[in-house]
This record gives sequence, structure tokens and C-alpha cells, in this order.
Amino acid sequence: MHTDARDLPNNTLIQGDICIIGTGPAGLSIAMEWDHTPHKVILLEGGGFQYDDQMQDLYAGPATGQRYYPLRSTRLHYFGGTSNHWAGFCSTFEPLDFEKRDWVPHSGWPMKKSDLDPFYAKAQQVLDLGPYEYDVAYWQRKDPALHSLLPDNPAVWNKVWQFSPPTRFAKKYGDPIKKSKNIHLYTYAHVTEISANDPVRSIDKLTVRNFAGKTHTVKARYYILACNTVQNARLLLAACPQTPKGLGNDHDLVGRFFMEHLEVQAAWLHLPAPSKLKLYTFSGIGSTPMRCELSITPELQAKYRMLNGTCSFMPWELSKDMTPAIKMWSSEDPRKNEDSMRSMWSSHESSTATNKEGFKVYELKTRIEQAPNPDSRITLASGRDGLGMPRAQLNWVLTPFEKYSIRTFYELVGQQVGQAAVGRIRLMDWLQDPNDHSWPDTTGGGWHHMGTTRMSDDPQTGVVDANCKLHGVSNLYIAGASCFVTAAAPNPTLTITALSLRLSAHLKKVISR
Amino acid sequence: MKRRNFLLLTIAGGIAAITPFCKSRRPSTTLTQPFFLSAMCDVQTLRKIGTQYRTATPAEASEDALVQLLTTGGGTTGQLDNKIKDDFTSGRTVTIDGWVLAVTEARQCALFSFQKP
Repeated sequence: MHTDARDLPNNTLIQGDICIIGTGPAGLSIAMEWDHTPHKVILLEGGGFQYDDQMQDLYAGPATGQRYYPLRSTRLHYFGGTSNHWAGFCSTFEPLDFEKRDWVPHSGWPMKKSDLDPFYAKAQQVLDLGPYEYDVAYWQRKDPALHSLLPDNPAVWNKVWQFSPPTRFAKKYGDPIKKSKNIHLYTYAHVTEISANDPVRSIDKLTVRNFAGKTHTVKARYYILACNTVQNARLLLAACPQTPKGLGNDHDLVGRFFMEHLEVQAAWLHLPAPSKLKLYTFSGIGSTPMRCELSITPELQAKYRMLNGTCSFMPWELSKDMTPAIKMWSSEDPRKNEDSMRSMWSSHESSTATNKEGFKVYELKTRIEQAPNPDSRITLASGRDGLGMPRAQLNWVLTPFEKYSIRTFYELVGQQVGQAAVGRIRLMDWLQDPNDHSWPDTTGGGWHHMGTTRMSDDPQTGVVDANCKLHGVSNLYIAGASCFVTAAAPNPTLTITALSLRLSAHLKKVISR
Repeated sequence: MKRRNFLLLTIAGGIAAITPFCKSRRPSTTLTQPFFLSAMCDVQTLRKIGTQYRTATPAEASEDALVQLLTTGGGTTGQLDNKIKDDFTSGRTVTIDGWVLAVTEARQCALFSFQKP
């Protein structure tokens, strides 16, 4: 069922059992779990079914610290959310990513990888992926030409990625949502206020607004804030008039620990003879079900006290002329950025396809977790958006720890590649001096926003509990990567979806009591 | 191609490969040629690596010192290849001009860098 909130009489009261705020991968994967249930689900989308520049502008905000992409264009503010320009890269977090690592401050989730495994398996279907198989041996049995660069290596292993078509949530789930009898989708229903009961132990109602000048009220038994990492924090900080410091922010944690995946070209692999490196080579979204990236074993990560990361391979002949993402994705208009990116990928794809013998030199691109850092954070800016909400402001902060980890990563890979006599590794200039803590102007992120409402069993160290419920508030849950404690190496969408499905399963138990 | 250039260069130099030093007191190609690395690096790169290694390791910055280090435990091609593998296995690596190298092959580059272009 769908209603355009601009068409409702002003001050309409919308009521249901569960209210989901946001229609990206988190919100829609949860909503679909409640289809054909006796519960009335209110699904709120701030925008409509198409890109709308006025709505998109609500995401604009200043950024300080390490150079970052324009906040206005990294997320999409319409039905389907950022899945509308998602590239489809999927892999699971590793058991180590959930553990407390004494060399990574603020690490440790209140859950284990095994807690998430059943939901990862289910998320594979939501995202139109293959089987829940992330062991390279499975894929090598299917295609014996997928040779490992370093077979049976004690230090470096092959981490599998699978590629979603990519799933466009709006296209796949739009009609089922509209046809659903118990899911009520409201577009142009942008949440501007979250009203709590007194004392602030539960949420009473939401206020939604739109540019048609309409204001409505939404009441539900349970609320799920499933916007994105920036907006989740922004709403908690700005939208609850009863809590001037922010909802769930008694311990000054909301907005802190903003994390990205550092994505930066860092080294080259030189081979004595051309090779296609089929196991590692990206040959187009949708046409390749999987590929691998190299990763360091948990034992060596502990030994060298380094962060978790991977590296991917790109033929140097092609990558040397490519523009780094941080420079290419510089427009405030996400459509322009996406066009540039697709054009570059398409060019790369065709060049790779026509090369028969392979390449002798590959550029190695790092994707590495950012260490959880309370100074890397979302706060409220002084300016307000078109609907009167304070804008979000990002201060992205990197530390020498990330750079040390990247350098150590390639030194370890270099040792293994040398020992196996398959080639040699060469670090790029910016990575060579261990005393240089600066970052090159090619340093970017993966548009992966994580960590601003981090999870912990202890309200003093986390915003939500292990079930993603806001500490101290009985009926407000948070969905999405904002709940991540650490970022791991993989692109976050698969884990966002799995975590959202887990939240949904938990809420089903709660509501049935 | 790079490897071929390297071989041509060393052959043209008329260097014998049987003993650490030939009669002209020039180190043998076995010692000055990091065989595997030369398949990926041109002569200029090998020379640059060698020069930087000598600068970073003054105690080894003489031909005599390098020859002695390279020939300890044997200086044949096979023995040097094994040393290189052992270096990588044991973590005896150096990063020179960004290259993650076995100490043995860095020393070979250093010895090579003494030769006139």
C-alpha cells in the first residue's frame, strides 16, 4: 500500500504497530520480513520514487578533517535509498572482526560472527547473491582456472567477494511493498522530530514533513530508525526536543566513531611473466559471480598488531590513467558522479576483456578498516536544511595506525610473494617512509559510512545494545551500518542486511510476547 | 625484455661466472645478477636499488664486503636462490625504493651498482 504524504490532509495521524524510517537496504529488508503478518507496518520514505534535487539537498553538510566526498552526494534520498547507486560488492565479516582485539582500541562487538551466520545466509537471497559460500576452495572446484597466487600460504589468504547484480531495492521490492496489505509506505514523509514520553524511556510519536507544506504525525508501538549512518546520528542528535544533547546521547557517543573503509592505491605486484590472475581480476559487475582479494591471517594481524584489510588487483596498464575516486566523485550531484564512475568502469572492463595473455604489473588497491576513533564524528552544523533541521557535519579523522597497517600489509604480502617466487611487491612513494604519517591526495573512502550509533552491552560504551535497541529507550531500534563497532574490510551492505534481518527476527519475538 | 637487456649487458661485459672474482677482480655475474628480480626490473632500476642499499647500509658499501656476504655459505646460482628464499622466509627483507626485497638480492643489486654503466 502506498500513499504520497503530500496528498494527505495536513496534520494527518498515521498509526501502526511498527514504524520503519528509511527505505534503503536496511529498511526494506526489514519491511519485507513483515509482509503477510498481522502487524501494521508504517514505512516512511523522505523522498519519492525518483531522484529529487530538493530532497537530496537535505543530505548536504560541511566536512572537515581528512578530505572527503560531498556529503550531499554519497547517499541517495529516495525510495530504495543508496541501493539505487550501489555497486554490488559483498563479503562477510570474519570472526576476528567481532572480537575484542587488544591492539585495536574500542574494538569488540557484543555478538559473534556465528550469531550473524544464519542471517548472512538469508541476506544472500535478499541481495540476489550466490550460495552462502565464502571459501575459495568452493569456487575453485567450480572453476579450476581460478588459481591462487599464494596457495596454502600461512600468512596471506584469499578472501572471497560475491557480486550482486546489483540488487536495486526499489525495483525488486517496490511492487511487493505497494501491493502489500499490511505494509503502508508513505513517500515524502521526512522525519523531522522524534517525540519521547516523559521521562525519556520510550518514543511517543514522530513528526514528518515535506516541501508541500504538510506536517503529519506517526504513532507506533515500535520504531526502527533505518536511515543511513549520517542521518541516524543526525536524527538522534537533532530531532528530540526533550533531549537537548541528543536522544540516546547520555554518554556523548552519538555521532562518534564515524568509520570509512580507506580505499587507496598503495603498491604494485610485479610478475616475471604476464598473467591474467583470474581469481582476482574484476571483469564487470553482474558478469562475474565472485573474485578474491588478498588478506592477512588473523594470527599475523595479532602478531603485527595491525588492522584488517585486503587488496585488490588492477592491471597497471589500465589503472595508471584512472582518476582516483576521491577526485572523481567530487560533484554535489550524485548523478554526475555515478556517470563518471560507470564510464571509467566500463572502459576498464572492455580493456581487460580484450587482453588475452594478462599483465605483468598490477596496481594493488587497499581496502582497510578505519580504527574506531571517537574524534572521527558526525555533529550538527550551524546551518539548517530546507525543512528546518540542523545539517550534519562530518569530521573525518585518520591516524598513523591506519597507515602503519597498510604498510605492514604490503610488507607481509611482499615477503610471501617473494618466498613463493611468484613476483615482487613495490610500495608506492607515499607508503615508503615509516615516519611519514601524511596521506596522499588519492586517499578516499568506499562511500561506506559506519559507526555513529555503535553497539555495546554497556550504555557507557555504546548507543545501542546487541539487538540494536537504543539504550534506555524501550521501543526505538537502529538499523544499518551506524551500529557497527568496527568496520572490517568488506563493503558493508551484506552485513547491514544480515544485521537488519537479525533485528527484525528479534523484534518479532518481542512483539509476540 | 628487461631480463634480456640485463643479460646482454652482463655478457657484453665479458664477465666470467665461475668464481666470485674473475682475473680482472670484477665480481662474477652470478653475484651481481639477482636473476629473478631482473625479470621484472630494468638495469637502471637494479642500479638504483643497489645504490640506495649501499647508502642505507654503509657497513656493506664496498665490493669486498658484499662479495664476502654473498659468498658465505656458497655463491652459486642455486645457493643464492636458496638464500633469497630463506631471506623471505625468515623476514630478512629490506624495502628499497619501495621494493620489498630479500637482503641477498639487495646485496646483489648493490654489487651490480659498482659496475660502470
